[in-house]
Amino acid sequence: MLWYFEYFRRLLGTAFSFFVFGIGGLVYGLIVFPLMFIFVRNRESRRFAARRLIGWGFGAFVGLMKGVRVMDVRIKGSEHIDDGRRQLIISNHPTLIDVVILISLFPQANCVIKEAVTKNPFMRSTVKAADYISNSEPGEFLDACVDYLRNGKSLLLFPEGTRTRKDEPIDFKPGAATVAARTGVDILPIAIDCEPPVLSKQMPWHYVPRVKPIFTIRIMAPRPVHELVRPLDDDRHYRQELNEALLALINDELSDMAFSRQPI
Amino acid sequence: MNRDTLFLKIREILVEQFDVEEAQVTMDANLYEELEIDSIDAVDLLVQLKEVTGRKIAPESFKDVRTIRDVLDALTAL
Repeated sequence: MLWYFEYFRRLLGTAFSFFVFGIGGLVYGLIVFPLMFIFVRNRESRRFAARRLIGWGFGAFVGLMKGVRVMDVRIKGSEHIDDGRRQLIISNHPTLIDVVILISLFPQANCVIKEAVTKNPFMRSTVKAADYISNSEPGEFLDACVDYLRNGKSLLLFPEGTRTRKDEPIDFKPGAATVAARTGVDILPIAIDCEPPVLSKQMPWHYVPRVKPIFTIRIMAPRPVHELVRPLDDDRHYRQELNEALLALINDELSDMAFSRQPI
Repeated sequence: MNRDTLFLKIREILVEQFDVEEAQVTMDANLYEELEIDSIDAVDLLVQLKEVTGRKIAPESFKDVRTIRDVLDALTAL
């Protein structure tokens, strides 16, 4: 009986949170950002302001989900959060909320958005105002990532390219390692664990697990690329080695996290 | 440029730049599974073939490409 009550409370909380998220998204995409295009003509200022607003919105959404007690978020290694730092942030991607949590922590970071989202009429102005990178052309979006890091600040990439299936080991596509190899920037590795799993690829949004999910966001110390793998003459070989090293960084941390939540 | 010369060109790129053994390069060799070409290599290969042929393969049509025969089909279909 109690279990049902708890279940419905969290189902309602989840529905309410997503409803608020949707309304917020509409207000941003149909009112706030179109107005911003009229009043803030300078692209850089608009980008800064837009990302700040998105960061606040996402932070509020995470706060709401914690507030209505449908999930908990634990940040470990918050001393490594420095939004102004030029770095490549990489993370595994177990759930739909990952990007929301990470952008609330690193609002000024750039990220790569699915092309379909950049064309969605409700989200187009948001993505454009924040000046995020679209993944339209495979070669071109990597060049855009490299250019951005070379003269900008930070970029957030999920090297898996899409959400991980919980039952499969994670694997990285070579894009993030290529960007790292070509720019030589510092890497900020982040491992995300969500237990029990929610909002993963094979689950509908309204799936509510029996116990409240806990997100653990483990932010590791930034590491210079050349420290992870010594630069090699062969570019292709270098990026492959780097890809393995990045994957190992995240995977080692994930297995530590899985181990530490085992009951003793 | 006909299919035979294109095939030779692809083989040359694969062998010289992507560490593929010449004998492995056959019409039906799977780029991703047998020749261990990743998506970055594939884009690289596309760019180089574009320089050689002057033709651009649409990225969408390259998504379905698995074998060298598919690459040739995509290049000659245009």
